[in-house]
Amino acid sequence: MFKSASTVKNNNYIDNKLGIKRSDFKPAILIWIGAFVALCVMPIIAPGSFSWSYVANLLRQASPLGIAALGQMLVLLVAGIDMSIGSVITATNILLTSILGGSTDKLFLAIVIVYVVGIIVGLSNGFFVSYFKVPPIVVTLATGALIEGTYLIGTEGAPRGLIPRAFRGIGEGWSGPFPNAWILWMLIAIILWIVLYRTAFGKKLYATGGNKKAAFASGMNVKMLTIAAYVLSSILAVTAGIIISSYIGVASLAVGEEYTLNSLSAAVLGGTMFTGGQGGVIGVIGGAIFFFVLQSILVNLQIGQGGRWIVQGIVLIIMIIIAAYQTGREEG
Amino acid sequence: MKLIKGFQQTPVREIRRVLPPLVIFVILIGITGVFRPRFLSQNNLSNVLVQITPLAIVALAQTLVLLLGYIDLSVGAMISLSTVLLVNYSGTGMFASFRGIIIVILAGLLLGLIHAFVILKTRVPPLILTLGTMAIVKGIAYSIQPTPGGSIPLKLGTLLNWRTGLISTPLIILLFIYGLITLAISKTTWGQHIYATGAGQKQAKLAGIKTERIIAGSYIASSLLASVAGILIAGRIYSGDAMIGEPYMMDSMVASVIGGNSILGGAGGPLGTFVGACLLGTLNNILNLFRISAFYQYLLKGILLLATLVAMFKRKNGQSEGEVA
Repeated sequence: MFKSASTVKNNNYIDNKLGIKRSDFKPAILIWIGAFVALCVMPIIAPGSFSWSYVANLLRQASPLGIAALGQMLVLLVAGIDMSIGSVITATNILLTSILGGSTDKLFLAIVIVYVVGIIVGLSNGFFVSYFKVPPIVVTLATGALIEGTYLIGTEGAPRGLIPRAFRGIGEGWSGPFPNAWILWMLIAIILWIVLYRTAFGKKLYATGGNKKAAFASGMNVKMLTIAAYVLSSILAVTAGIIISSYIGVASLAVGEEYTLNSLSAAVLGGTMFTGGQGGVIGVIGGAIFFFVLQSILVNLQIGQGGRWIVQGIVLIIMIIIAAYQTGREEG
Repeated sequence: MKLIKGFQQTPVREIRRVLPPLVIFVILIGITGVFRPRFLSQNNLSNVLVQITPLAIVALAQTLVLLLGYIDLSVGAMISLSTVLLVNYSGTGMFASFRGIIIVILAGLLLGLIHAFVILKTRVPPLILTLGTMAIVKGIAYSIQPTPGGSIPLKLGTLLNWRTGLISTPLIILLFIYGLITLAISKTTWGQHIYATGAGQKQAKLAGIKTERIIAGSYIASSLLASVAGILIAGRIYSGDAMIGEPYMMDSMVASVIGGNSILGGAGGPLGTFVGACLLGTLNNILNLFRISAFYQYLLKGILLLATLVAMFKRKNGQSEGEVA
């Protein structure tokens, strides 16, 4: 028993030296309290009562954001940022609707293609960031523009196509009392949790963002880890895109746009640091729920799109100021 | 001060940086001139010049921040807000346009001061700060006027659209601003400190430069210039639009970078930015002349940006090897 305790201590010591923080529960408590309060406030404003079906419905709608935010978190962990998430989601929607065209004949093909596209986007993001030392925000904005240009040319600005009925179960369906989208979200979260906290890969990912030089010096393949983070982010964005497409059922050029900034807000609300190496799955789930419910509350208060953007900006700035003070205090 | 002098932009360095985009620009114009002679008509050239002025000014705003190794994501939103403010708060009467312009400039100054305040008082990464303010400014513009419309004061419209031959009001404003910034950057200690901070923030700090102040100053200038660009755009469309500035966030970056300015800071200048803005601005016009769908612009911008960055990376590596030898 003594031995295991000292191992834990030792682990923390190494974490500190690497400048990373993997303890997930402590920073997540605050945002989970916030998410819970928001969930309780919601029925007061919107018609409806506080019941499981009401909560589950909100969770179902928050699932795409939650999944995209987990991807954004992975990139933030390696001190990057992914501004192409929205474009990837829209591209997924356009590809799915145009390939399927209302029938499930080519379902397998469509799913393979969207994931291949996602992986290519992630690879190119990661490649340019790690091999050419270009600021991540510029690379991902550029790939975002590339994707946007491609689907605009492909659809000539007027996308057609439908999602078949049978496919709509992912976004709309329920398995017993649980929405399918939410189950998918939780599955992804559990897998990510295991990968981040119970594997060497997870620890290396944190180390890459926490202190790149130290990570490199200890023999980690920093470039490959960075690329892996971007690929995973794009894969999760594609997954979010599939759920959204299955929910809305039609092709839309505007479907992904808001997810770039929203996923960032949710990840940051969940305690993920822009400087890399800090953040966790549980916090980001709380962040996504809080952010989504907050948006729903604003909608129900008849606050327009403009007001919601303002609130989003203020929330983002408050979070980074708090984060800056926390790191400042620990260093000082 | 000897240390800092090393960072100054020598004419040779400046030309070496600006030459590649300039050559591409000249070739592009040459090809277009041969295939579409209409492009070189005085009327079209004057049009192109007016079209690129807002872009050139925002790109200059972005350059001031890029020189430090940072990015200002809020410039696009600031442009939108400027057009909306100009339409909605100009009022009527003698000083209508005057009042509108003052309000727009004050809004730009306020945004810059907010950036400066947060940068000076906290350790928030400026990039993410501007992402937050971008959302807020966009939200304010959209709340004031959700749909494009309204109209700017008539006299202001006439003034902003005045032109004879190749000379026009936007062009005069552009030349004035470029002249001012070029002088400030190359002849004052402020300019030297910008280059020093951009080349190496830690070293600059050790040399006694108050780097936070330099960063804050650049962000103030950036927001101010964005508001001026917004006035010019409002003058061109005669109305307000809460979304019109959106593409300029990316375009300003692309123009500045393809003009040869380093995205990592410390190298570049207004001349490169101007060439970059001309290149990107005329590209849109040329695509129109060849009847190529506007959708290709997105694709082209992404490719241009990535290609330039890769080319720069190669050049930088080659140079550093040469220096070692």
